[in-house]
Amino acid sequence: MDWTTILKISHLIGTVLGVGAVSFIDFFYLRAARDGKIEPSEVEPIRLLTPFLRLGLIILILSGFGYFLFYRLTGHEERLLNPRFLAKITVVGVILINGLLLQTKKIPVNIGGPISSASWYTAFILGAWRALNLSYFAIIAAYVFVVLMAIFTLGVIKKLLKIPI
Amino acid sequence: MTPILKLALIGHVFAGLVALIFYYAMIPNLIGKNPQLNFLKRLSLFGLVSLLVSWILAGYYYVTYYGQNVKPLIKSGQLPWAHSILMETKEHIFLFLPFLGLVLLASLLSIKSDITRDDNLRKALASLAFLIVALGTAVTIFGVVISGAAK
Repeated sequence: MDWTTILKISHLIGTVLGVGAVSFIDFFYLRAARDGKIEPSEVEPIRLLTPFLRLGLIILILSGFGYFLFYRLTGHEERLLNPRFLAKITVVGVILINGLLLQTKKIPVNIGGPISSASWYTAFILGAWRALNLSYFAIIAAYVFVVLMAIFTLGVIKKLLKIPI
Repeated sequence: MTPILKLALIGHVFAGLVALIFYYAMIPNLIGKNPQLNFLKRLSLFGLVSLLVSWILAGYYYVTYYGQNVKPLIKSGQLPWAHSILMETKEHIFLFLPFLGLVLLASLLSIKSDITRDDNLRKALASLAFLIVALGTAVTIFGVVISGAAK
């Protein structure tokens, strides 16, 4: 197995773990919050999924930098300044900062949750959409729009399901 | 590039990233309700060791290869500022990082009181860990742009 295949597989595993865990965390959070109070037993699935989210993030970052080194060592340095690659680094940076703010309770779950989900899905889409040909700022503008839409959508879902918290 | 130089390039990136992961993990533990001093000491020690490994490998690569082979390429390329601004900044921050790591470890090792009761101390240590992560992230991104400019 060559290095590109190893990198691709590990990058996919990191993304799958992250996107999968964040999706289920959102689902369990909404289900737990439905009656207005979150019981300790309802938090358990979220607690179980969080290490997978962290593991996914670590694998994603390490394999991402594996790609960086691969491009550097094989003479494809121009790919490092690709707007899609730089935008993905920015999005992963947001995931890291948002994760820290959520863990230290410096940001409400109503805001931090959708930022996390939207960022993971954006990172996933940016990784998969190889033909995307937009400038860095256009990609980031679209990402900000997606994040705002995610926050708005969560508010609408909570209203529709009459979730008080 | 010789295999040793490749190893130095790869090793400094991964050792640096691992160090940042250790320091990143310290922040919620320091701010949380139940900081575990022994766990924090271990993270801080591993973080410092990783930073030092990254320091030595990067130093070897920089002194023996970058100046003669990469710097002229960047200076004559489309993004000469990648060296004159980013690399010059990166060098100084990079030299400084292990000292910050050492201060953090020394502070944790010297704590004799109950850390859970001293909010100011915990906040100061969390700020220091955050500073290491923020500066480390900045030099990492600078590294990506510098490498991208070497074409």
